[in-house]
Amino acid sequence: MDKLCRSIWIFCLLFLVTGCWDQNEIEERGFVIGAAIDMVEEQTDDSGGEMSEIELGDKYKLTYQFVVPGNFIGGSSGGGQSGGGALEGKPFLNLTAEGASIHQITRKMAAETSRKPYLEHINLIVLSEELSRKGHLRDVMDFFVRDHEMRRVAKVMVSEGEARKVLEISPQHEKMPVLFIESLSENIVKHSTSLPPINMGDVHSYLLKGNSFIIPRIVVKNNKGAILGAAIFNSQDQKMIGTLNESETLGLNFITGKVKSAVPEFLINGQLVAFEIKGAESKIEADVSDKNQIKFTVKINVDGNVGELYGDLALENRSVLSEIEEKTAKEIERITNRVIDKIQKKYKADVFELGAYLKQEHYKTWQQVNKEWDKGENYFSKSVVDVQVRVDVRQIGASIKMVK
Amino acid sequence: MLRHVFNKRLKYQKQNVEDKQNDMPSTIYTDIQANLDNIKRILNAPSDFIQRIFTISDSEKKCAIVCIDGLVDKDMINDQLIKNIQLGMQTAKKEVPASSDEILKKLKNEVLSTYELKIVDILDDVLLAILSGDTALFINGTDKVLLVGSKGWDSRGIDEPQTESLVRGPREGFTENIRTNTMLVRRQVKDPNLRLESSKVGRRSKRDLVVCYVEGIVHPDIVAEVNRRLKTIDIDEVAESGTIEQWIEDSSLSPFPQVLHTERPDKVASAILQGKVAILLDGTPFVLIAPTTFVSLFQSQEDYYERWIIGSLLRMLRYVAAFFAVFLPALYIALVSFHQGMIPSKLAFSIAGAREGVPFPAIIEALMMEATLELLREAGIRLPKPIGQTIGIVGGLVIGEAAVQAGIVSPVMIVAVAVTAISSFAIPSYGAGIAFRILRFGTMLAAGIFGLYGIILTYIMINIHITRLKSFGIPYSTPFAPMFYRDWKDVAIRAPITAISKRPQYMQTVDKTKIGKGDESS
Amino acid sequence: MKSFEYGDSEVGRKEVLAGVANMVIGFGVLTLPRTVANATHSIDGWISISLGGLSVIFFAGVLAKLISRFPKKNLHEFTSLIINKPIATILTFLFASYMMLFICYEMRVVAEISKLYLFDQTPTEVICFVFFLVTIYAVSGPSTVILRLNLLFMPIILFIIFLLIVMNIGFFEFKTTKPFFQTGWSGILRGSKETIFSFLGFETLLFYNSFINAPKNTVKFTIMGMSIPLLLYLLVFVFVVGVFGVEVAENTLYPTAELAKRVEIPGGFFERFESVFFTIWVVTLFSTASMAFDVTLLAFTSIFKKIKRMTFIFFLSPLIYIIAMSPQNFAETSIFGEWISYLGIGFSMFMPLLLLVIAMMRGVKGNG
Repeated sequence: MDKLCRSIWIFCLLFLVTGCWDQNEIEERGFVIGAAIDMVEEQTDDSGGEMSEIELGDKYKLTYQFVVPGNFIGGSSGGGQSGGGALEGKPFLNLTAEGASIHQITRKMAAETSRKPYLEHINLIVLSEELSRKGHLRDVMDFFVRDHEMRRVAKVMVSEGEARKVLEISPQHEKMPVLFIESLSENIVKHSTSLPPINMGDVHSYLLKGNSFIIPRIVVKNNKGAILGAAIFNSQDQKMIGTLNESETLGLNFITGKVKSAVPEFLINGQLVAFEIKGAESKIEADVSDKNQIKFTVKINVDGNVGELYGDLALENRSVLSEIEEKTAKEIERITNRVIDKIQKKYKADVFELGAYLKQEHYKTWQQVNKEWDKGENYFSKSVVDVQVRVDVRQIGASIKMVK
Repeated sequence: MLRHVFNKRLKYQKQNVEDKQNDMPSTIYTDIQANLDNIKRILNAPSDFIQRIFTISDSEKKCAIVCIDGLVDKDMINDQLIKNIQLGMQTAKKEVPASSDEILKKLKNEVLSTYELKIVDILDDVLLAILSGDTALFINGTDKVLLVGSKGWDSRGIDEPQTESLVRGPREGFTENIRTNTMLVRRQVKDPNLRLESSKVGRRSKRDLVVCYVEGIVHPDIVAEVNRRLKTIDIDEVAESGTIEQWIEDSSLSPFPQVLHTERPDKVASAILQGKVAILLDGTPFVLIAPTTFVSLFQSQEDYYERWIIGSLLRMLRYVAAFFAVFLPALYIALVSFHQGMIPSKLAFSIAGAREGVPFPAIIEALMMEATLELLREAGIRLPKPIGQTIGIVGGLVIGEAAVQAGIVSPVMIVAVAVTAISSFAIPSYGAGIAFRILRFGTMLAAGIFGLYGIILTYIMINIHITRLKSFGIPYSTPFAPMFYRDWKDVAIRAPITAISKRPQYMQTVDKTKIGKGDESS
Repeated sequence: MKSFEYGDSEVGRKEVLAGVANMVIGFGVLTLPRTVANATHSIDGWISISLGGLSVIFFAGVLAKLISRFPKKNLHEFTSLIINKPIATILTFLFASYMMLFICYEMRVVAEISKLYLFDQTPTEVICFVFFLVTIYAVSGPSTVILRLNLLFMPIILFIIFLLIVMNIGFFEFKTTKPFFQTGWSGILRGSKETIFSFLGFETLLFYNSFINAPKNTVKFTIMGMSIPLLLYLLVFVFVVGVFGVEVAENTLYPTAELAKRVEIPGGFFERFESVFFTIWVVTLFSTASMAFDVTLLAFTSIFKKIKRMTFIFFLSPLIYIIAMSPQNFAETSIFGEWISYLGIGFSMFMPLLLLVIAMMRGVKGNG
């Protein structure tokens, strides 16, 4: 009996060795690190019969940037000499295909490449402006959020013009365009004229919350890419309704408290002063007595150093420093008021997260105005946003004067 | 059913280990010639058989000594034995008694100046004594025989232990001579409660076996259990303590050793002071220590001789090494073949690039490299010392490098295999090292089929096995399960000497404290 | 710890603690944030969890009191004392069947989660089969081994959850958790109802009682053991809402998994923390499953004293596997789970309460 049991046991174990179903060697994977999605312009009807509803509808053009690992480590060393020779030595490969759903397109693309697209390392998703304006963000995002292969932290951006061009820019310091763009977006910290990187999880979150939101915008010029400004999406139908340029985005960042570093410039006595901001915090307060005209007060506290001084101001003079602080504050207020104006009047979409603030602090009011916050009645555009800035100069640098 | 598969229960029968040599007359004759002939016949007159007939000083009585050349100390026999008998009585101006029995007694009490003397009257004892290196003295007219201790043979001097060398610590190791070994143990523990119980083991080899413990520290049930198991050994030859180990261990199917072996007297001393039992066997320098737990596999004497911070860090390093030794190749396989998403992007691309031309899937690659390494290791043991070292270097560098150049394996695999090999050498106990090697292959296979899931299931299975395993009644996974907090001070870390004031709780020792409190005796 | 052999027959109170905690922590933690968030729509779910948890702890205490009244006796034995033998047999048989269904559910759930997060092509049957084999291996030894295993596994499980929480502290925004105290009582109570399902499992003590050697500590340690899952659930819920916000919590299938995905290891040492998290999660599900199987066997062998444990393993295993594989898709599995939870509430809360009351009324006690 013992022997019989043992043999049945071992026999069962044998079954397990028959297949390693999920074994996919690393070199057989087609690593996709970036995706760009555009809309297709014309529908070409090449099959002569009836086209199904899906085929008649909107189609997407999807471009994947594949990594060619053989060229990634750059013709170095003895190890993988492999098939690098055939592909001009570029470590990446862009492939494009069209279709109605992303899954469809991925399948079509698999026919062109020897490696099955593997999306676990995807780092960047670029959507074209056209697609965003037509409101397809929501649909396209569904694929990326629902499938477990994706990482939540892939960055999302909106491109000016065609998204595919973004994947073709020439990268500096990095091996691939996507990696380059990634570094760029990490670099935002230095200049704050665009948003901190938004990833897929954030977008999902925005969509679920039903607010308006903004996504960083990427611009391609002469094969060079730059991340400038932001794209505005409204909450009603998740369509892109406009853009913000660099200084407007800076203002936005001030209000939402996301400025890490910025350099406002202004004149004192005709001389240029550049103030280097090291940190800015913002606090929102609201007076909700009248729901038709909610007063928001945004208090911004800024710390910084004197960055550059053209002229002969004496920095050890207390009154000079005060003036610098005042002028900086005014400059910041100017920037922020401009963007508040533009958003409230022209776009009427709450991208300052004021609605979220209401929900957190003034729940009852929020319950009343929530449904029509930035649509319909649009309480948002009716409210008044007042910005108060306070600047503190912390350091003045190494020299007090440049010239005697 | 499955329990039988993995945890064999030994059936202990009590057997009498008595020698029945049927067709040999077991009597001692009173005539010495008859005795000599008898013994010669039994032994078939080997060439190293020495017999010497002479007379006792003044009388006419003949006596004979019998011994085996090579086993005896010639000088002692010449000076002490023969000379004394031939001359001693006369010099002492003693009367030679009439009866041979009396002569024997007189020799024993007054004449012979050796310190090991015994009078026996059973032939088997005489034979055993002669074959062990003693000398038998026959006197005409009596059937009693005088056995004189005269053991003296060439043996290896006390040397540094080969398998367990330390940076800091005594450099004396056990030898093949059991008397030397007991001496070494006694030098470590001069407690009057130290017990060394001898017996003989092996039907034909009749080796000396000594069970060593400190009465008053060790729990009596453990000693009883060890003795009980030892008594059931019933084979012809017990050449090495390994045979004993395999006979008395709880489960012969487990990869883990349940009995520890060591060449170091200080380790033995420390063990018996913890409440364990040591088993010494004549003919081997490896002494057994029972019972053992999983954590003892990671303990080295050096942890105690160095200061506690270093000791603790080294211990933790060993646990990490054990983890690598078992799981690293499997993790590599799992990550590269199944869960590439877990590798950071740039590393993933590098690995993929490096593996472009490699024809085999990761698991085959891993198995190949591991198998090669095992072959190298096995070959390295048998080669003479100078070549052995070179093989290690040759194997590592040349073969590995060549394999990478040829595109058979990827460089990352070589790194993983190398780290694994080094880690498995970091574990102090050789038996544990082997156990981990076995487990490593199992885990690799599991990883090759199921990836990370396979690894975790294997980990669970190893845990189940360790928890179920017992060593002489003590669960192998003590002090983790069952949990004894106090013993943790000596497990992952090595707490300062003054903090380890009690003996291990799991041993349930009779005497609990190690360190005296102030001026009280412990 | 009395006999030298450490008994194949005794465990102490630490094993009770670890056993209870491990048994209860299981699948619940993955979906709990969603179900509670759906009911309360805000962070006030922590009140729901606490209420639910405390009420279950009360019942766990009742059960512990019942079993500490009858040291070293299992359900069958002390029910025969309290009521009579036939009813005891019926009750034990029903309990055994419930436990058997419990393990079917657990195994199925493990296979589903693994398939979702760790595999792609591998058939669910195979994943489940391998897991089952390991469970059989665990169960074919003495029960005390499984209880001791919990002691070994608890630190690992606690560590991984600790890591999960700590790594997400950087993403935790307090303001996302506001507003507080806005949900009405109906929402909170609805949330509590959902949490009760995640606290079940301690009824295994009804049979492990025959191994516990220090009955006077049982109540205390059971309650301590139950408070570990309570704490964990609270932390996980608060963090899910704090990091993602309530809306996302309501709409993701496994919010805890999303939390795991969010983790970014500093230095980019490795990505996809959720794979590691799930791999370790398999360990806790394994201990739940093996305890359930073990108790099933203990229950059956206490009724049919003549049949050996091994025989039961041999015959029950195929049955369990087939039942585990029978739900066709995830929806059916959920319904299966719900029914088991209802049964569980009956067996773990009402039955012991009833038995204790009857025992107290009749003045029945086990001889200590």
